[in-house]
Amino acid sequence: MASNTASATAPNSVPVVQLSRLTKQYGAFTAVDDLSFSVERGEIYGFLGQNGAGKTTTLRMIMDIVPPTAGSLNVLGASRPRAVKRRVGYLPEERGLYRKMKARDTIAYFARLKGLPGGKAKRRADELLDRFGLGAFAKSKIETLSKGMAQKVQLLSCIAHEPELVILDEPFSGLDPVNQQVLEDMILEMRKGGRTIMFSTHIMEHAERLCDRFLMIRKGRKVFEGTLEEARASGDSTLILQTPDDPLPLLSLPMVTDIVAGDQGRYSLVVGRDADRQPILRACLDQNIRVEFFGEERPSLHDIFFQLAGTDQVERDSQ
Amino acid sequence: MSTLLQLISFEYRKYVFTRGFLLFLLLFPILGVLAAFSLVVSENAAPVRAFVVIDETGGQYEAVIDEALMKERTRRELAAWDSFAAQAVMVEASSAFPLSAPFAPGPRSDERLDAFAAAGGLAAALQAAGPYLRADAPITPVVKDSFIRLSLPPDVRRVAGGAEQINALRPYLGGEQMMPGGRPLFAAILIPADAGGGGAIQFWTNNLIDDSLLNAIDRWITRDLRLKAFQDAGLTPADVRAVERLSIPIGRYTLGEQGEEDGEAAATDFIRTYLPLGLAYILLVMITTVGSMLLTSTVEEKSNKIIEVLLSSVSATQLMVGKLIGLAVVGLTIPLIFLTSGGIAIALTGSSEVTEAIKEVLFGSHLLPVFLGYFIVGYLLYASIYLAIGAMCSTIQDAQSFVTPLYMAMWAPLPFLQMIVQDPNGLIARIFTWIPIYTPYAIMMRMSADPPQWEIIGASVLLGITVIYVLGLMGRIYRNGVLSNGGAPTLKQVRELAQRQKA
Repeated sequence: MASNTASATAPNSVPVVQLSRLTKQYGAFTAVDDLSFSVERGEIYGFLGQNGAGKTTTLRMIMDIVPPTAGSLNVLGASRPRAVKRRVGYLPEERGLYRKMKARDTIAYFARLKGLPGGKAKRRADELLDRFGLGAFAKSKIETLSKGMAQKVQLLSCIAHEPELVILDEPFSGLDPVNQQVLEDMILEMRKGGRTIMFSTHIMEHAERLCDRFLMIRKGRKVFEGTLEEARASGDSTLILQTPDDPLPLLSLPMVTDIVAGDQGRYSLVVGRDADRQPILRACLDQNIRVEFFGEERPSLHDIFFQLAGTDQVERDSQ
Repeated sequence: MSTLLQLISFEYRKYVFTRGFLLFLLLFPILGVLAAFSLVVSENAAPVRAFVVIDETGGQYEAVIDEALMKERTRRELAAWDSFAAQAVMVEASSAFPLSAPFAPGPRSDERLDAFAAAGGLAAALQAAGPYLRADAPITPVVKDSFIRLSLPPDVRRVAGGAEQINALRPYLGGEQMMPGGRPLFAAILIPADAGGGGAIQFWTNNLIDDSLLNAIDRWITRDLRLKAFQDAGLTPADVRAVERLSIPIGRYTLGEQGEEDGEAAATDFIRTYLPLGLAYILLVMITTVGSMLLTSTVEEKSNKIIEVLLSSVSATQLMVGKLIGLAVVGLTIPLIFLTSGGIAIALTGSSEVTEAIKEVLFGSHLLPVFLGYFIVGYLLYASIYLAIGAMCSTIQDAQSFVTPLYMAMWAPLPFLQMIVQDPNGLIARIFTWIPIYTPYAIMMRMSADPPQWEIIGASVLLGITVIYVLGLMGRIYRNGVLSNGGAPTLKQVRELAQRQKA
């Protein structure tokens, strides 16, 4: 799933979102620090980082809700994102609806605010509600809907005006597994319809399944941008060694930086990215460490995230 | 429709097309009717106070009291008749009132009272007026007595001595026993034998609040004593009456508008004085009501986390302007509806002197445009503050800590209200005129007294400058505060929000 970028990033296409050296400071606190990245047309772009890493602030700057302190950005060809607000759909992390309003009116109102004419907005609301199984609740007040239904209405409200670019801030948070799957399907369907989707999350599984490319930030700074393959190649590798013996003597090898014990005699050896595997096997033989299994483990995005943007990295950096 | 119009129409419909608002519109006139009804009812439902007199002077003062009661009744009947006749009796244009004295309108003098009583009172007057009553005459008046003197119950009469009789009346006064005929006894009056020569009258009652009967007895007997004193000094009863009747007539005059004649104060003049006062009050109520709507609307959007969704479509400034205008229109809807329904009511029921006067004052002067102007300016001033408070607070509780001082400031001039009303161009009135947050009310209240034009213009310019400044300041707080988190900000944080400039 995560490798389908060739068509999305045609060499001469103009990026849908482009940030260059964007910085946001609140008093002495720097929320976003010299951040540059670009989102290409038609791709699903994941925006990963811990809580407080600066994801929401970055998205708010893209939406022109808060102004940047320094740097420049370009959204759909406009340097003032306000000019293209109507072509963008935004689902903020902190989201809510008018509790007394009906589902259909809610979607239609937000679509009208985005410039859709009244009649069309209502038709679009009906159509979306029907398609996503909420047709029977079109005239129900938001306060009477279940949380999952309200979240769906929320998402429909931000895409009813058929935006070219959809920005979702932590869209999966608060959803049960069934609705998470519904949302994944919706995102994929939107891409099929030619839209560009950018979403932030700290749940790596969604990003791994959906995203063509990622951005990882930590403390407001970019730590990685690229595909999952590129991410895998960028970090340390993990080798799996299964042995009934104690593998600790292998730590004396220069390429082995860490050994983590797993279940049933499985050990994870953290080695440098381009480290030669042969000396490790030889050392096993020399030290009488019996080898029952030896192979490379493909790191998950979760592991890469921990390496690049996680707490370990924070601690390692601060030393 | 532009985005701003969308916001305005949304805010407007959110408040106007609600059950609460429609109910308010419906209830308000009903409340008015109820108030009017309660006036009538309280007049009719006032209890008839029954009392007994133990007159140890041999019945001398009992007769005085009875005569006074009689006269009181006649006075009420005549008053009821006069106001009924003014509305109910047909008077052909250029012809005289069809009934002659004492039924024809006139001053309620002692002579007319006596003649009215002699002619048969209200019942006779109504009968005489029968052929001349208009088809749409109001219901015929019924006059009730306030006081009724009862004779002593037989068991009390059997007891000898005033003090003992009062003692025997205890169960009646305490309400344990009813008087013959079923009435409760309100009071017992013991008039000692030496009442004219310094002896005190004893007024026994268990009701210490209603002293109307006590005052009446005092008035009646004192008058009788004086009358006798005058007679002892050699004056005839006619002389005494002539002396009593002496009074200097005072007519109330006001200066007419330019090109108008000065004249005796008419309904129009009273309305010209009091209508602006009423409008100033409406202004205050409207601004407070609409302001608190703005506050709850903003806090709702913040606490329900709708604000960021909105901000992805519209700018904070657009949102603020949309809200301000939308709710201003809500505020104006209320008087507009009442004005229209009042107009329809007048058109349906025909006009009276008072409604004509109201019409003349409302539409014949610049009162309405001035009201509208000050509503808008005053509203912007207060509403922007409410908006900023709403933007800073995520809950109504947080907002309360800011709203309370605002309310206190708004209502602070209340103790001075009387002074401004009595002396519309006095020092207090002028001071409040120059304090921008009170300018709209102060000028509205002074309107009837034609304050100096330079003061109106000067204070209005100052108000305008203040409004622009406050609007800018509150706009900054709104834009910066609307996405902030946490509880009510400290004063220092408020200052920061007000200063932080959008990059």
